[in-house]
Amino acid sequence: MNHLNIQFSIEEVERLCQLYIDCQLSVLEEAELEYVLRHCHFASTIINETKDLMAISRTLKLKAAKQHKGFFALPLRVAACVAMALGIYITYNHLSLNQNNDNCIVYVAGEKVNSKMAHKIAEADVAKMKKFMEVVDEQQAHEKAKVEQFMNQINHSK
Amino acid sequence: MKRLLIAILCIVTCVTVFAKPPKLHVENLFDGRFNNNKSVTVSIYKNNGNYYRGITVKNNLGIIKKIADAIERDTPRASQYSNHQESNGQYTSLQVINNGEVIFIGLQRDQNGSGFFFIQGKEKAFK
Repeated sequence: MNHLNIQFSIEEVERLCQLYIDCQLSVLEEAELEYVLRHCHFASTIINETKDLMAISRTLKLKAAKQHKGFFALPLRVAACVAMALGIYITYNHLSLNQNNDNCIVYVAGEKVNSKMAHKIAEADVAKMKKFMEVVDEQQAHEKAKVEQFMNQINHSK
Repeated sequence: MKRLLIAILCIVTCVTVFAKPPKLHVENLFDGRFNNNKSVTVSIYKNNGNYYRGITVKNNLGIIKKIADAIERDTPRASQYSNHQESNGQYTSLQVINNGEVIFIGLQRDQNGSGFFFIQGKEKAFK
């Protein structure tokens, strides 16, 4: 501070303040002038006006920063809410599917049948499916046997 | 802000670790489109961790063709495929692996447009 007082006379500070008011200073120079004014004890009309202007500018900058922060905060909050809702929905679906251990729905010729009948039809269908798989397994075993026989014949002819 | 970010991260992680459904074309056949069809029996059956869905068709070549097309579209995903003719019709069978479990898909059809189609597997395979 003492160092600053030694370096700047009141005339020089006033000159700098005039340049500040005329918007002739760079951002860095403005910051330096603000620092100088904060630490020196000079007082004059132009110096006081400059200090007031700097205070207004500071307030405006703070407000802008707050608005900027708010602009990002809202979408982030919405995104968080959506993500939470999605998480709850998926978890609920996952749990409800696990809790429901026995469930059977059957439509016959366009009509939904009652639970007892649905179970009978579904069980008959499952039996039909098992038979289907037996036929397929049998066929695959047959195909495999044919391939093996073919390979044996080739090996034999060699 | 930090709490929000942590919450989002947790949720995203939870969603990511959930297993993916198989999204097979044959699954779309059970979207309810055949429920009111007079020539069709649709059954959905879930029991002890097994999931079965079947369609039985009587004299409706159009539906049989739709089922066959859906199977055809899922064929590239099959780990095992077979198609053969028996005395009582043509048998098409697929095995698709999802979430480490096998999904069995089968279609038995005759030339008159009648057939039996199913998807079966452990519940885990469909989640």
